[in-house]
Amino acid sequence: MRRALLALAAVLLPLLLALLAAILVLLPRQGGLAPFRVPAGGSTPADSDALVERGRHLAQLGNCIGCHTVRGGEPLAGGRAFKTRYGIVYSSNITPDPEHGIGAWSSEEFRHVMRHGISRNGVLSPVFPYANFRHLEDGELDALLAWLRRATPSTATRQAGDYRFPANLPWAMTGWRLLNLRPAADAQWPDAQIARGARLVEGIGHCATCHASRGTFAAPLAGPQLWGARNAGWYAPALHGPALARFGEGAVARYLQGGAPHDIAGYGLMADVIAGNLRHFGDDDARAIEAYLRRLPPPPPVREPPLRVRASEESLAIGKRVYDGHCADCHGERGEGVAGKYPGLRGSGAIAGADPVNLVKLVMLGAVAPSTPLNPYPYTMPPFAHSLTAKEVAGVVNFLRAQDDRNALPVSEEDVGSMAGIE
Amino acid sequence: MIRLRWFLLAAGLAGGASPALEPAAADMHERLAACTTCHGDQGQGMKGNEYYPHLAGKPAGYLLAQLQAFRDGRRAYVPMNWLMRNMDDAYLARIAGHFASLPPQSSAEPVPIGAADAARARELVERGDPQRGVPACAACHGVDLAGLQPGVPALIGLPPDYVVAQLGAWRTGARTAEAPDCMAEVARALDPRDLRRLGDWLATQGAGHSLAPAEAGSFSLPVACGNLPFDEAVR
Repeated sequence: MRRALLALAAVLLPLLLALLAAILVLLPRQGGLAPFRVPAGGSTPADSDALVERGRHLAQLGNCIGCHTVRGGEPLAGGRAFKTRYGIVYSSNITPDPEHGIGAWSSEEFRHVMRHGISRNGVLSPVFPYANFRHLEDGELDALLAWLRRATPSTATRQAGDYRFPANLPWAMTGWRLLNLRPAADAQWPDAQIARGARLVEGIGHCATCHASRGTFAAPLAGPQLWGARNAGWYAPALHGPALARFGEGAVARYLQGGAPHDIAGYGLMADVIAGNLRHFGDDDARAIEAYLRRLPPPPPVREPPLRVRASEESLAIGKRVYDGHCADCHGERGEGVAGKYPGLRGSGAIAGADPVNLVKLVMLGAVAPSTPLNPYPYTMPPFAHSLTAKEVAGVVNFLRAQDDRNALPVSEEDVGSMAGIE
Repeated sequence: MIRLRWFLLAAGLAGGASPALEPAAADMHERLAACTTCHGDQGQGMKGNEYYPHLAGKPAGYLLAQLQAFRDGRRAYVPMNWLMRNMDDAYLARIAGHFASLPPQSSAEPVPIGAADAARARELVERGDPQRGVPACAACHGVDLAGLQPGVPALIGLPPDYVVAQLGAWRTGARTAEAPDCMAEVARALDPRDLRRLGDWLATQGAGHSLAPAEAGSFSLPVACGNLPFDEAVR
């Protein structure tokens, strides 16, 4: 009996020691124990109009309402579903209801959760972009909380995430932090405008949430790597110097503010982001974002084997016929567009991009840019889901993409079916 | 008893953004390719499709309320919900005004209807069903069923399946209008068997219709509907 216990200990002890050693190595890398110490008690921000107004503006730039509201539901009451590789996460109720919302939270607790993703409710899912919000200053976070405290309280209850293995294991979120969260020191930008842009993009704007992919187990990538990614069904394009070179000076800023430079305006989920937040950027902020994004380097070149799959001649011929019959009226016989009305298609991000999904959706669903003071009555792109077959849509997508790159990966009829959903 | 909101609406249709960005009427047509692809180049609707009704000549207030309902989710039709998603009231009011200003026309086609069904539909339209508490359609939509400015649409010229689908959607709550939602009450009070009769009979009346809605105030509604002017005395 004693021998058996000893043998068990001989096996278990090294395992326990190894686990302890791993935790001791990993713990400091995600910030030590401090993130796990949720402040109890503390003060609440002053209920002053000036602070609330500043918070309202920050909330617009950060699109708090966008993620924390179900479409048509109570503002900030949470419940919006986010589909991830590891399950469905629901946003939480951040109204000032003391029981179901954050009405009982102090400034200290709010600052803590915004920076570390840990609150009285536990370790939160990394869908919540706290890795970005840690760039916000105390004063900004207090302003946000002051604004939130004036919202209408909602008694909507917290919905637990619907996780798959391994995210459904107890301690999964803590384990995720230990393995994946590596807060790095902020890059220093000598130029004040670029530093301002960096703060907005990497901080409250949390652009990487859509424009960057994540590593294994949704690990955030180190540093600004906005190299484009498919998120929520749409492709958020790469944002860096060479990717933005085709736009004239100031065009990116104008686009973000809801204008239509080069007759290009936001569509898809970016239209929601512009309508909900970016249109509220002032000129200085929008220009700073443009300057920063243009300074970002492109990703290192990837040497891919030459692609041997090309669109069939039949599909390209169908596409040409569809283009001449349905597209050329507005976009021009050779895709030159009509200045001031319809965008030219040469070099278009939807066509030349790495992922054809946006082009499929544009053709199938149509698009309307958000109405904003800079573009109050946008020209509209008609949907074709009701008038073209999947084969025809695949054809016109392949035809347009082949104009830009003979080797572009073609889409099939089945791809059109699977890519054409709204979200 | 015209309420203030309709004056504000009319003012909204006339006013707008800065003159440099103001689209001319002809220009609106160029901007609205996403509408005309289904609702017809002149807003006449699409032949043979139950979900693309005509828009031409419908009251601007009615059209605006529908556009807002699609945007805000009170009416459910995914392609419309998608396109309206980020449009503001000023643009929606212009779109409503644009289609309201087009000459009324519809491409809906008559469908065959038996004599007994036609007689029952006609009775509902002209006299209603007092036992079930259903008012006559004509009492609100006009004796010629061409509607009433600014918020009551024509009932003629609509595809029959569209009428049936709308009445059904009101019964189930999938379509709602501003309270008091008179049409929801009417649709729920109707005998379910009458939905198809009404749809078919109305489509038959509407073939090639070119009637404009009656001037605002030319008659009063006998029931309370949203914020439309309504005269209790007529009841």
